[in-house]
Amino acid sequence: MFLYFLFAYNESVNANTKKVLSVSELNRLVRNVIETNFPSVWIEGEISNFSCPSSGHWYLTLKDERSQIRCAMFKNANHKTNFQPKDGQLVLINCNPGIYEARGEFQLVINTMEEAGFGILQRKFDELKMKLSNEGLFDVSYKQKIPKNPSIVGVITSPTGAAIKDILSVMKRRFPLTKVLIYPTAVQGDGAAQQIQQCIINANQQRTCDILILSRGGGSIEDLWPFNNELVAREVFKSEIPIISAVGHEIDFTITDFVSDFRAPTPSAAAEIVTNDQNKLHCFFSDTQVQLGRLIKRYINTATQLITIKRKMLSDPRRVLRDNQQSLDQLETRLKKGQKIILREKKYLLNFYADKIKGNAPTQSIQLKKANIDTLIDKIFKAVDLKLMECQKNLSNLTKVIDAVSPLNVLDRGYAILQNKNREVITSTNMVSASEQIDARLKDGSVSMQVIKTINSPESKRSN
Amino acid sequence: MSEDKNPANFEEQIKKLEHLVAQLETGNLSLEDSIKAYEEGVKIAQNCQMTLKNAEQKVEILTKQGEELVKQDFNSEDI
Repeated sequence: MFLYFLFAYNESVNANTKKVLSVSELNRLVRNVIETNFPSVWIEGEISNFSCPSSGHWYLTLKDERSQIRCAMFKNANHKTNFQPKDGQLVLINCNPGIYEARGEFQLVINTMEEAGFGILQRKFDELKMKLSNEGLFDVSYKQKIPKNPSIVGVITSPTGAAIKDILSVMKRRFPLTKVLIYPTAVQGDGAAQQIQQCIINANQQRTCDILILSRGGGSIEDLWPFNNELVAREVFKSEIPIISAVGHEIDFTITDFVSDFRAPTPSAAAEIVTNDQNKLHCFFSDTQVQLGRLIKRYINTATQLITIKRKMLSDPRRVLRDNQQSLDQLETRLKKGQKIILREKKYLLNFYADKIKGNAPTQSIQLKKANIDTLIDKIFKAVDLKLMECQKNLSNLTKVIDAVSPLNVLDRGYAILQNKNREVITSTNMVSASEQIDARLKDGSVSMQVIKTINSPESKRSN
Repeated sequence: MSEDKNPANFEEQIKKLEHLVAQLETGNLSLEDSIKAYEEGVKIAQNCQMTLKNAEQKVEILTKQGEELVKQDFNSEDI
């Protein structure tokens, strides 16, 4: 491009042997050379002398340790900038170098401006945070519970960093029984993110730890950058072992803080979360022993009281014996006395009844009853004789009557009684048939006969 | 005693201790059982305290030996 400049100059020199350029001509010439030969470039530098006149254009100087350059950012370009530039701020600009002809100053016309270093990373951070948040990776519903008193704590960090030192010292102080397994990794620089990711994968394959602490000490945003890596974030989300993110200082936030199950403000805080306080436990054990002592004393007191009461209830057995002996004696006396009285009473009764029995001897009444019985027997015999005679008289009368009506008497007078084979008395012609065998009973026997014929008398026909 | 060094076991011991205290607090135990509970409780508390007092922090680090990951003791004084 220098050649081009010479060529342009030579062209004008050749026209006149002594070509003199005006200031503005030179400036325009140089401006053309610069503007046509420089593409837009990216430059990083620190802002100073920032001014923003009422025109709305921005003017500033960009510098580094050794040199500086004037810059202008016109209204149509600067309204797209999403921050207010300040002196001392490090910015990354896209610009076209040129000459401000009016003053012959070399300057840059800025097209875009963004915060350098921190600024770029901040934007990437915000974008990733937004993306993962929209995917739901930060949802509370995915957060796993942090185990209260884990047996083994896995720590993914640099084995030589400040974080592991803090974590180990806090855990040792608080609860030395908790075992620690370090998954060593680089925590900054190239490849750190991949190593961290691999550690999370290894820990989940081994399943040795109850919880993982993902940690590093404080540093610049660039230092903490591996913890804002998308792959690391997704691995943290996938981990089936709960993960505590403890990166940097309390004010530092990383993507792993959001996606992990719990965010500890510092590595030390993470160590506190996973351990019981030994001192508190010592207090607990001491207090419990005191309490146990108090409780058992209460039991013993109650038992002692009970024994005292029972003992009072138990009187001296000799006294009981004496008491019983006394009442036994009393009873004996009363028994003897009672026996005598009863005996006397019985004796009296005996005599009383004996006298009564003697006075009422039944000899006389027996004789009287005997005489009565004799009289009664006589009476019975007489009555029986009388009754007998009466019966005999009745009997002879009845015999006479029976004799008078007996058919046998009629037989005496020559009548006969006809009977069929079945000894039924035949009283009608209808009861026999011709040639039938019948008997005729007479006074002194019977005659066997045969019927020749039956003739009905006229009276009987009429009656029929 | 070796199993007491497991923090999970430690937690169990604490639970057992709390249970014994609660049992004693009801006042329903016989004198004999209460003394047993007391003795057991004191024993657990003392054992746990001893375990804590004598505990040494155990730290291991995974190192790569060839393709294998191997656990090795890690001395925090080396940092």
